[in-house]
Amino acid sequence: MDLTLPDLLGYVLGAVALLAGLGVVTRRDAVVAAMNLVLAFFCLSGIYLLLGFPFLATLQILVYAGAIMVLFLFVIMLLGVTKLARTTIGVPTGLGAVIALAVAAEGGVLATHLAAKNAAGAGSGMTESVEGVASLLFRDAFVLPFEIAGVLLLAAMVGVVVLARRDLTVRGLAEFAREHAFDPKPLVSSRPDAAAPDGLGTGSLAHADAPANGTTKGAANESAGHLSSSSQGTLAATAQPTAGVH
Amino acid sequence: MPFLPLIPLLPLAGALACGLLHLQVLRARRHHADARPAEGLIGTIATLAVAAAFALSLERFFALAGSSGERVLTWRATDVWIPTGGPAIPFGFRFDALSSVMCLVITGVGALIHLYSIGYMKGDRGFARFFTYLNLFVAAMLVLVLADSMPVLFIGWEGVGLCSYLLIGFWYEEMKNAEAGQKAFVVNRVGDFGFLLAMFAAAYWTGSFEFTGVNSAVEGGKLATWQTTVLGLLLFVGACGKSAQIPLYVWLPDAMAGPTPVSALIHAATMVTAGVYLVIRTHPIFDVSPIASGVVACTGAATAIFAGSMGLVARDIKKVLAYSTVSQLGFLFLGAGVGAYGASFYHLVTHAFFKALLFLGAGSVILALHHEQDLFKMGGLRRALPGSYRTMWIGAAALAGLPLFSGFFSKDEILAGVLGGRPVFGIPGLNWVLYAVAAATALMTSFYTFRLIYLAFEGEPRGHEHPHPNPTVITLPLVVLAVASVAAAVLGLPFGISHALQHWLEPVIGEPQGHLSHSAEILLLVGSGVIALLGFAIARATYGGGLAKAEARAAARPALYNALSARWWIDELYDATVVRAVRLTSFIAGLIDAFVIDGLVNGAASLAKRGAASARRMADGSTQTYALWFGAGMVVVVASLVLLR
Amino acid sequence: MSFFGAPVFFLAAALFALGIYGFMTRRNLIVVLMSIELMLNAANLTFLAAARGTAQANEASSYAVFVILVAAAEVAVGLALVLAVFRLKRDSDIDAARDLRG
Repeated sequence: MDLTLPDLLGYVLGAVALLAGLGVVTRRDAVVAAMNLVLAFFCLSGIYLLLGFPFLATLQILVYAGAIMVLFLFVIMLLGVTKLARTTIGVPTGLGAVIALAVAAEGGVLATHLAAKNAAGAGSGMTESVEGVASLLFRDAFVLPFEIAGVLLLAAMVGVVVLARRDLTVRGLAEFAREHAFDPKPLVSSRPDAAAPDGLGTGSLAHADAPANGTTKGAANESAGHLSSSSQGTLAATAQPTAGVH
Repeated sequence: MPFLPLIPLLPLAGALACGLLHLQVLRARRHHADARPAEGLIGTIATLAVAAAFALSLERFFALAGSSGERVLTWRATDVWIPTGGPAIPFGFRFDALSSVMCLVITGVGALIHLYSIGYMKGDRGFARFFTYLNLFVAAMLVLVLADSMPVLFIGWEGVGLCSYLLIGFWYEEMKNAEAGQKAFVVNRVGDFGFLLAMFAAAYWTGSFEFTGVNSAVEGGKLATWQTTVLGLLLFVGACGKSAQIPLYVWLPDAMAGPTPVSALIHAATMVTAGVYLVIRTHPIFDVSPIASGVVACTGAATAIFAGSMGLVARDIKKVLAYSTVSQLGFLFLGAGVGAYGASFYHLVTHAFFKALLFLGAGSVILALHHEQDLFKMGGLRRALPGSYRTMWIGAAALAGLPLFSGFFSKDEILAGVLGGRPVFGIPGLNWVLYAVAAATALMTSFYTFRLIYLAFEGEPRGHEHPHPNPTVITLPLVVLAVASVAAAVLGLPFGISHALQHWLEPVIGEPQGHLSHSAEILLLVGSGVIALLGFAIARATYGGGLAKAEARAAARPALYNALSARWWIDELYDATVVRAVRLTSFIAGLIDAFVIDGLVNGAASLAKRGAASARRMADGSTQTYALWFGAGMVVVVASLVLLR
Repeated sequence: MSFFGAPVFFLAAALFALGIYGFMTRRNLIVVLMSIELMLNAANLTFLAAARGTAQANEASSYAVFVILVAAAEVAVGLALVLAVFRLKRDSDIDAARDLRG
């Protein structure tokens, strides 16, 4: 068994990537998980390089380690939720592990098939060339898919702008619905007494508690809808009665 | 070149437009309970749609007349509309001598009746709905007559049946009307069953769904006599249902529950003639089967006299006309049965004009008297409604067959056809019997028609002193139809003066069979005239002197009068036999349904319900539970792919 | 044994399984999204490893570009959703968004 330098490097990078991946899914702190993911991305980039795909290796670092990870970290910081009380919920860890192991086993079986096939097919010695990729994407086989992918990105961008709007609250949704000619009544009740303190977070907390105690879920939801105005200060009031009845 | 399918498509578009407008009205009613439809707009759209179809038919008619050779315009959407194991079912239209005249009658009379309906239905809450159905009916009827194959005809056949049902029960708030609609629908199903069987049998035996294919196969002698007989009888069962012949006529008198324009258009002028049209369309079958054609002729004659006798005593003005329609349809079948297709079709056309006229006239009277339909409560309307009086008189004269009116010539031609046509069941003597029956019916026709006129228009008013006059939209169609009722005579004058219609139809129905000598024709013509005048005279003698006198005479012959009044107790007979049998069957079926079928259904439902109750625990809202199931599924799928290769 | 034979595919399978595990068990929405990224990378690795040295190297690269592109779009939308959920529920727990339970 003779190990060349690339093989050795591959094993090292692979092991690090695996450990980093393990870190992503087990670390409690989201920032640590994100840093682990960055490490995994770098290792994968190195493997791409060893495999003979320098362009992809570059792209991996630029897009993944650069852009996407920055986005992740930005959101983590923005929300300020780095530490979590529990790591897992709902699905027991054991069950998830069983399924993950099953997938890994199946992947292993498939991997041996692929490796056998690859050993037979390799040998033309072709390597990736930026010119080749560019001509595929911009001129030959993948022009149309590439354009469609551009449209997909545009759609994603518009979607993000809409989703990230400040007024995406229960009340905001109700207003959105009203603007677009839905009947907003089921969302926002028309009780005259509750209609007045619109946007006055502190003053309306009393209203929020009253229907939440012992009344139906629907009433509580309605009052919650009333109280959550577009101002950020009432966010807590929104969550409170809603959570209380669940 | 105008597109042939446009003829039915135009009324269909009209129906669509009116339907949308109706939906709009319904929406407006959610806010204002008495929101009114835009009557002017709806009426204009609907009427123009049919009028445009008429114009198009006319254009095509002249194009057809100008063409040489076979004289047929065809349009084929596809040769394989429905692929079957055997012959494929095509979809196409055929505009030939027969369907062209039918198209003209349907759209022409239809347009007039649409115009009339604008006045008649004024202020009705279902104004838009009414015109939707009416336009839809015209479209379906046009598909029926234009069809070049039986399945396409069946579309129209069922379409008109549906519209008939919808329009009979148009004022469905009253149970009576809804039930009448159901009765028409159910009775028609019996006929449809026969037609479907005929269609399948024809396709099975001749290898074609098209009329040309079936007809040429029959003419070529490819079918055994018993096969053509079965085919003819099955077709006639279908025709019986649609055209209200014995024993399936019972729905038509009840169908008068619908608005009067409906009675005029559907239950007098067009839909009920579909059966006769079908017989003429498939006439080679009846030509080669004496049994089938004999059954057609005898049923027609029996229906004619039977329904005519019921019309003698009916008190409801529309019922009189309804029985008269059944009776005249019997005439048409009689003519078709003896092979006088030209005469039969001629009478079909004239009947469409004068019966529509009479119905519309009756409608104008009913409207003027605030929906009074009892003849005994009318009277003296001659002065109040001179327009209705004059036009209805012309219509009555045409129906009764007074000399020189169109009905006189067309009816006479049928009578002559009965004597001169092929022997019924192959027995020459039977033609004389049928002639006698037909002549007696003609006498009755003349009597009850003028009875209606006298009761409604002459004498003193009984009950309604101040009828309100009719608007122009109502009187105008009456006048046009009155002119047509007289002028239609030129389509087929005797002694070879004009055989326009007969010649026109020859590509479809062939040369007329059997000729009478000139002297015999004259004799018959005089006979017909005398019979009609005699009926008129009897009616005048009986009812001209007022109602009281007439009732006294009726009281002198109670048995006959009662039998006639009770319509020979036919409905009661049906109740005792058919209805009871059906009820019993349906009771048993109901038990099976309740315990066996419902048991299965409920069992399946509760299985699903219980299964779902446990399955819904899977959907607990947590994304990761979903992911778990997704992942487990993926493992299974990939495992099966990996292990099974 | 050369790393670029079977082992690189095993590495991809393992990374993919890790991604699945994280996706199913982690409760922080952001970490769930990270797990998805891990899976996408595993898929990319398989693509490239299988095309190594074959005539389809450029095609494999193009596919990988598309995968990265989709991943970018998915992360952007996913994180915007996390923001929206957080704004509504004051929580980035996946638990917070379970109103759609049956």
